Amino acid sequence: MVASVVYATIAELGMFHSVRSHFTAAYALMFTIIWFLPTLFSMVFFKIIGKKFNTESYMEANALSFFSVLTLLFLFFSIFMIYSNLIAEPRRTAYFAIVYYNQLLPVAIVGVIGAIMLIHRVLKVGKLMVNARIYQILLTWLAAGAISIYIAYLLFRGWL
Amino acid sequence: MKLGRLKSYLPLVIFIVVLIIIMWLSYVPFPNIVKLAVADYPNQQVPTIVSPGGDFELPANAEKVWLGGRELEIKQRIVRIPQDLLPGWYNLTIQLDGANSTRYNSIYVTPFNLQDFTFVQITDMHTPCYGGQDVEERKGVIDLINDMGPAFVVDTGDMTDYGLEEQYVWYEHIISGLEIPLYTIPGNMESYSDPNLERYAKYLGPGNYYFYFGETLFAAGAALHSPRSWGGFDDAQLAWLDATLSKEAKLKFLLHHIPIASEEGRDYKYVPWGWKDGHFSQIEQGRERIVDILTREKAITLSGHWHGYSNKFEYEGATFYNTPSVTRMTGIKEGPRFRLFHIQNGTITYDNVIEYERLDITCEYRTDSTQVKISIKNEHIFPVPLNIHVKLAPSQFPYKTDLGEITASTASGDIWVKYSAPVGESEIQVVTTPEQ
Repeated sequence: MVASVVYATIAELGMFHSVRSHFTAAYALMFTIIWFLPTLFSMVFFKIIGKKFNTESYMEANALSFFSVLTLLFLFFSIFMIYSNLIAEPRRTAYFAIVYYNQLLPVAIVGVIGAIMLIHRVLKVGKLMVNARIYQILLTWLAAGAISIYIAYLLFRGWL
Repeated sequence: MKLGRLKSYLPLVIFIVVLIIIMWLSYVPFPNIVKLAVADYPNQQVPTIVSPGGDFELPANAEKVWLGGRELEIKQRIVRIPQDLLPGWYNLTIQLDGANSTRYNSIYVTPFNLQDFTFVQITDMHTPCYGGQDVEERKGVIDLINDMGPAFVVDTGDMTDYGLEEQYVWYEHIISGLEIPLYTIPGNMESYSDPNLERYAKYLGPGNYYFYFGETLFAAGAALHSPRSWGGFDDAQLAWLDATLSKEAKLKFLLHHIPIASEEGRDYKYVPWGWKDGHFSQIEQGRERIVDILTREKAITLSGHWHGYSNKFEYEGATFYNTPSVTRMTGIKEGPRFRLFHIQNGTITYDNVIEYERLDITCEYRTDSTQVKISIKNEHIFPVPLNIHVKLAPSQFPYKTDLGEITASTASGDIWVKYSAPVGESEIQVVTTPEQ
């Protein structure tokens, strides 16, 4: 967790020189809690359908599985920050990179890899066999993912 | 789950709390948009446009006035422009309460008939921090606008990428080539590094003001929430806009950045609170009141903000234009674009979006500058009304054109040729005509 905070802080500091703190804080918030919303929604669903598991382990497993996603995100932004601030002409900030549609592609790839890892981790922690129920779980994840993406969208487009 | 085991989550919780505190403290609901004081109008940043023989109003405490060094008479705050004054920029010297002050380039004498004119709306220039091709292309757009010869230009915000000092310097560099008046308002990007728009005021002046072109009223009323892409009007600004848009005029325009009403919502359209009464708005505070004012006055709103989006939306008598960005944007196939309006007797007769890459105007002067060939290439699917400004040598004989008509000329050889460029290629010759 400490490493995650350090990651996010360093990444956001890269933007502080030009974009106001309000803006960068909102971005940092979004990246820091990116794992939390699908975890919460899926957990609530599993609890409702009566699945017994350790809440803390479940949360921690999700957070840990998302670490790879955070690392890849951090790498992407680090590389882009170096490129945009030192090499690119005209030079742009990392923020600008993510609103450019063509540069969203690496983030989307990272997201897909992360989602696969996440599902794998959940299956392992929940000691779930691959059976008919897996479809139910995958659908749950899809729904949970969609809800959290929509909440992130509302934060990004509805607030910022 | 024992509470003590949550300790490992503490740094994350503290981090999130700190972020929320930073967001809370740094949020500026309404930036300080400077209103132009009556005594400060006109000035270099908000000039007044007059025609020869026309007039303009001075502050109540103005005692004497000189235009280009020539003293003019003040009658009940009104100054009449001499009929022989040539089109161009003039310095205004005003004696206010016994003290003289000179306002450079604050009066522009237009070659246009005040009842029949064109103007251009540019928006979302997003000037970067550094020069290079990005800046050169923006300068190219300004050169094309100069060649097209509108009466003036309005820039409806986001002229910089983040409102940084160096971006304003580059913006000034880009617009320095513009030969006609430019009126600006701030957009949300100007507030990203400058929440109270101090840098905007330093470089571009007030964000709330109004001016007339003949009997057409233009009110500049920015509504922003720093540093968000959603905007809002506070009570004071709504009262100011209510009073300003109530003024007498044949046609009323509101210059604004963030769309007030549209039938679309770009990628904001899935935000449920953006929709009301069947249209989308990115205005949060004062939305009903501003729509009431605009529909009551049947005003026309010019906005930008959505870059690739070009739209005209009519709602209960009010009209809302959204104009695409005047710069190249990744993900948008068209190049720089801007909107050209033609106003005739208080009616909009032309409102098309012009693409920089689809219009080319080239002037080839004869060596002694007594003749010019103007080549126009119009690749749009519609004609483009032009008022081309050419600079020829002074001649004892009048100039004439084989196409269009000469609407104004000066003794120094400045000629304005009014011509509606048809689709395709066309050529105009302007030559001197020795009297027989």
